[in-house]
Amino acid sequence: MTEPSEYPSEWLRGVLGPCVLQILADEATYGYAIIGALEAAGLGEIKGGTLYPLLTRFEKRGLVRTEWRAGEGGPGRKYFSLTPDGRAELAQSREQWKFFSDRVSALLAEPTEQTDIAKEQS
Amino acid sequence: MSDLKQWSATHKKWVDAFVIELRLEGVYGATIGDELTTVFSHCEETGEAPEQSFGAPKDYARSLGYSVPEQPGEYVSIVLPMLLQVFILFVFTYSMRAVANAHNFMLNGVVLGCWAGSLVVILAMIFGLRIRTLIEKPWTLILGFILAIGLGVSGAIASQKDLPLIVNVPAMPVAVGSGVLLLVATAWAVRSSYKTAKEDDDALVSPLDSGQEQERAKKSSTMVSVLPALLIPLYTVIDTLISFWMV
Repeated sequence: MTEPSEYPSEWLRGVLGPCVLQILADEATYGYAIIGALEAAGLGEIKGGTLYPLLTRFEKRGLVRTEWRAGEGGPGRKYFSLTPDGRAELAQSREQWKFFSDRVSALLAEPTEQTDIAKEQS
Repeated sequence: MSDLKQWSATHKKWVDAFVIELRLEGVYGATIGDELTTVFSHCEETGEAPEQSFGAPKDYARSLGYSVPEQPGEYVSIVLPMLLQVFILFVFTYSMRAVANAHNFMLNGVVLGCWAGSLVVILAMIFGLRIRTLIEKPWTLILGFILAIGLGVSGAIASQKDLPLIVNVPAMPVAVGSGVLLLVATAWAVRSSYKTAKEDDDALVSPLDSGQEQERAKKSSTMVSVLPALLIPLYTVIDTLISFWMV
């Protein structure tokens, strides 16, 4: 039996985009900080190989803009910030997620007769 | 703290594979520089090696989604004048040797056959194969190269044999004519290479480099891309000098 905190990785893959847009909503930030924010939100450790292709796709779609800033005692950092299109995308994703998660939660909330039978059979 | 060059040297295998993959996907030098600097910056933050944070270099390069499918013969505008240079090189060096030895420009059927075969092999490599195939399966390049060189050498040997001649004309006009054509083909090749290098923005520059450093890298990249077009004239000059020296 898996712990509730463990879930199939494809679930996160499906909602990683909106989560990253949300992190960028308040202020421009860089990749490593985004990974830290996702981890702090309890979503586990995201690798650079997963995050940056997503950010590159966002940039191509005009959802984020990038800017290189000099680092403090380290190399420069690439900062990502939301464009107006990015904000619109985030608002739409939020709506879509609410619609979807409400339905999934409602469906999974109470055990039904069918699930009880399945439980007994197992 | 390390700089990008030092870091790239430390992780040479990963960096080379990443850059080559993006090059093969037709990505501009400035974009490759940006992506590589992003990896570098991230690894410096995490203290991880690139393969730990980004996985296999080829897979990561592909996941960035820049891929523009390469068409066979995409570099025709550069290769065609160089091909012309190769053909004229055959004629010019043979005619200069004839001038040096004070005899006619003579070709037998076997020499012409070898020249034609050599050109067919080069054309097949240019138009039939993608650059990716040549890099990932280097034996195709080596095989083609050996075939082309082998045919060229066979032609040179056949020219010494007493075989029925197909061409037998005074050498000087052929030498002058092919010399002029070689200059024209070289000018065309240099121009095409220079233009393509400028348009493709080929220099791999980092966004962390200063404006001056970026300009220097762009200039140097353009100059390097022009060099192959000058190799055949250079070989021609050396071959001609040797021909006259050996008389």
